[in-house]
Amino acid sequence: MRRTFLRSAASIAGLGLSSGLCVPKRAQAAPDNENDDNDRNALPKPIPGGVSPLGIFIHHFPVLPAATPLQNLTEPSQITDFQGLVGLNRIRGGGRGKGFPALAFQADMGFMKGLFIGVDGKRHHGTFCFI
Amino acid sequence: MDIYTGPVGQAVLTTQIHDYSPPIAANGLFWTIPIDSDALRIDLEDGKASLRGEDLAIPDFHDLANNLTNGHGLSNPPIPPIAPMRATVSFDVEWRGVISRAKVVNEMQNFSGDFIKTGSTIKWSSEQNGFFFDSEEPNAAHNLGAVIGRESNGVFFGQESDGEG
Repeated sequence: MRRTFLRSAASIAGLGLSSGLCVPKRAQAAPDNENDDNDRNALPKPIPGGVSPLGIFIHHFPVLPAATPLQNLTEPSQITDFQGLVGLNRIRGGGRGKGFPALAFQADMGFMKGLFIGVDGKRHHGTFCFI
Repeated sequence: MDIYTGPVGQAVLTTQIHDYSPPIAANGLFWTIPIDSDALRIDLEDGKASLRGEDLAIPDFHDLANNLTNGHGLSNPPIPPIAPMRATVSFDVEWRGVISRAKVVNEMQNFSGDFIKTGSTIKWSSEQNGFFFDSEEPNAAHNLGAVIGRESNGVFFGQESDGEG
């Protein structure tokens, strides 16, 4: 799949993410509206709650297990003061890697798209990916 | 996006050999980065969404412990410190197949909205110095949980969301 599977390119918006190790300390918004110039510098706030894997608190709730009723849903967004579209999942599967004919993986993926109030206290629109 | 030497279906820290995610932001924002809006397609009426990324520069923290400690490892359980490495990842994620729909109001966590439990699949890959990974073809049987929806939280809690937000 490394060079073949993707049907369309999707790129991280700016922020020097095209190369190098460092992704931004500030996860600024990818503006949905080209006129919202200030959205480009908008930093969302994390949800206040979360869980503590390995005893370390993180601002995140794992996705609702498939067998659990939807009414027991925990917060699927990573961003607070947010209004919009969200998605979250967890998949465990297999694959192959260099030097390993068989490997296992877990992928927790998600998205948020909509209105949020950034750390600057202002309203912004953006699209975000949870990886 | 994590890789383990262990059997498919298990995700045990001691068998983990790669851990790809954006760093945790200084304010605690967790594994979240902006993307082009074109990377995301959502149709709540049909209960489906897709998220795609190609050759995104995402660090490999080796394992969850080094991810959460930014490469400092852990003493209990004993996980040696390992510095993150440059890597790229590509993915094609699908949410589809409506299982149930519900309006959810969670006052304890301060969010509400209309949600859809779905199936989901992923095809993904990673590449870095000395290693590559190619996942299996999308397999709906490997979904452990998936949800999409429209919600309001925080100061917007209790307000109806219109449109995409």
